[in-house]
Amino acid sequence: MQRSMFGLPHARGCFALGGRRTGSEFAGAATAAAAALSRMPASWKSASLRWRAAVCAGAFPNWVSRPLSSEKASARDGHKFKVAVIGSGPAGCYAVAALTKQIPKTQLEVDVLDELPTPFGLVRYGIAPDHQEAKAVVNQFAQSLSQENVRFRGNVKVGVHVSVAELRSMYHAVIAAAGAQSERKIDVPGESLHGVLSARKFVAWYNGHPHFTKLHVPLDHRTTDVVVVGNGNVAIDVARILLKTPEELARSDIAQHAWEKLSQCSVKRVHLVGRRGLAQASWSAKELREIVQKLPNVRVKVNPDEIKLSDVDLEELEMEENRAKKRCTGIVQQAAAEQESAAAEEKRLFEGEQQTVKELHLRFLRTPVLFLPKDDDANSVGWTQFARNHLAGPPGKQRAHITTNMPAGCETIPSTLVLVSVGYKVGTFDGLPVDTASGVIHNVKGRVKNQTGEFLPGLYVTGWMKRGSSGIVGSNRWDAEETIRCVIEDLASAPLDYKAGGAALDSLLDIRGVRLVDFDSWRRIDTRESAAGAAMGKPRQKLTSLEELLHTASTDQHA
Amino acid sequence: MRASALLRPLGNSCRLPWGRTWAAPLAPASNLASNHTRTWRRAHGNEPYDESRAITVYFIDRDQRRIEVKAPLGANMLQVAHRNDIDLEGACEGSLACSTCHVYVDDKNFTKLKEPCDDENDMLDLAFGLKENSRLGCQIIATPELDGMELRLPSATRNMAVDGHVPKPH
Repeated sequence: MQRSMFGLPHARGCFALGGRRTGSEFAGAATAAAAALSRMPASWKSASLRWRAAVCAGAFPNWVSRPLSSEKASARDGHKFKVAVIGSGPAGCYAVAALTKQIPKTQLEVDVLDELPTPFGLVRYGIAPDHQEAKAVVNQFAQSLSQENVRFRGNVKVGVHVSVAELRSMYHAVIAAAGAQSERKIDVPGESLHGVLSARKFVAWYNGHPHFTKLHVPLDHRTTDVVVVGNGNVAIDVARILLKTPEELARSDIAQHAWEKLSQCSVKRVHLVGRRGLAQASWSAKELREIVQKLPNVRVKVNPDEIKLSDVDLEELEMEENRAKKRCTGIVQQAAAEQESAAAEEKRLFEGEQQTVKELHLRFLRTPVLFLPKDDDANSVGWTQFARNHLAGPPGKQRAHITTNMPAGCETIPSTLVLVSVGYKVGTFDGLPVDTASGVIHNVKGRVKNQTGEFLPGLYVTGWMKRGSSGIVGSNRWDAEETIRCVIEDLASAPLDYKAGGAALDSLLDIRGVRLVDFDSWRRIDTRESAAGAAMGKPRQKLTSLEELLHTASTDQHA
Repeated sequence: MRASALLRPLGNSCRLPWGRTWAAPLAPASNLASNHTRTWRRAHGNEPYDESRAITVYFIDRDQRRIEVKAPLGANMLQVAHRNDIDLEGACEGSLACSTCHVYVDDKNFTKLKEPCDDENDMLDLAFGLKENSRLGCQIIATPELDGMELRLPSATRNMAVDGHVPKPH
């Protein structure tokens, strides 16, 4: 984008300009900037103060001001491609990896922003604490984030500390990779009772997410039955955390406050309830196999009537894309067939002993229709009422329809805790155009479009914001590569104008009083957490309060 | 600030102006080792391979280049790829918790491989662009009969939206 330097709105207090400049233009720029300087109030003593004032003056225009003294520097790094990535979870980290792989180090500068002082997003706060092997990917992500032309900027909330519009004015490309920060609702009467929680919040709570440490989770010695609504991997994760013994959990990096609560509660049964049938459950085989076959203290209960497969189901399972579902179906069928003998065996083994066995009830074809309060507490959930469903539709597109005569035929399950796990969705994100139907940001291959279908130049998405909450960590690699291909195509199709990049961001955040956490500061947190974990025989002991994280980040342990 | 912190950006060794090479002392604390070193140790262990007994394996990368590499007996293909800078990802570092080291094995050698275990099959189900001859690189161990094996990396140029790929739920 070429711009005339004389069209600048000097009155707003900006005194240098962007654009790819020739030698004579540089001379002109210096004159124009000097003129702008002379118009500034004399009380603005230093250049840096004036620079700050310029930055403060409001939303940046497309070119960005910078102090006169770094005119030389701007000539040097003027050709650099500057990118801001919003979010440092799997989507953001794979975007950084793809960028740095494609563009030479000397020509690229990437800033990775995160709302929290800690990087890695859902790897830290989403993946279950007992799945450490799946978290090994952070080593690779840390390598991406600690490259010399990549900067991590933690504790920066986009939309509060800096807006997307400001970022677009400071960087050539802004890649939003902030994930799905909201959840789908089931819209059932009684949802507002205490004890009805979204699984997303419960996951964040046991993983020690600083925003969720104070979440009220009604788990105590009276809790015997928990209902989990949904048949996906998150549903399995929360069920497994509730079913595992405190000793098993003590070896994970579960948050201390969650471990204490979980080890005191007396959960006996977890009911995992899906609206559709066994053949439609969206969990994956690894997670299902683990909870069904590999937990020694858990007995699986399945009602054989609920897992009968219709002809349409069988046809559906033979479809090529349902290879995984067919394997999952087999795992549940096997568990159902073995449950009688397993129960007999258990009776023999545990006769007369204190029962430590917990039950996992896999339920299908049930829709929650009402949450009922406890008998002695009108504000807390005590029961969940389910209606029976049948499936209708062609293979692969079967939908659940309620068959029960309401309310007589409903089934009521006791539940002092209900976890709703029916999917995440992208909420609003600082004015990005959300497609409310599919719950993602409007985009084509990662290029963001507004509601009227026009592309917003320099703005991209990747990860869950782009495709919705699906896939495993590795899926984000393909996704990021597609987005980065678009970024590079666009980069190649137009001349590169000047953007101030990270320097402008840092001074803006400084003025706004943001306590930045860079990657070295994160390493301090990491070191402290690992050391505390090692002393307790766990992979890490997470710091869970924002204040503690920021304090550790800013204190050098070796000093 | 400690001297080690100043030296860290230079890597583990550097050439000093007066011609001698400076080598970083063995880091006592793990946070001094570079991330790369850490990853390497975790993924590959500290034990050296027996390089004298190796087979030849060909990788066909995403740009359709055929790369010949030596695979020491007993090493898995994820390790071999990383040793040779081949862009095969191992997000879980070979612990069967992801499917990023997915490769296509040539038909002749595919049948020589042991059947995948349940855990590998579970992860393969989630692999992007699954085919009949798909395997996880970390589960293919170099043995003498696999000499000359050809491994193709799945192509990233597939367009998810166009070919109807629906990513599996998390």
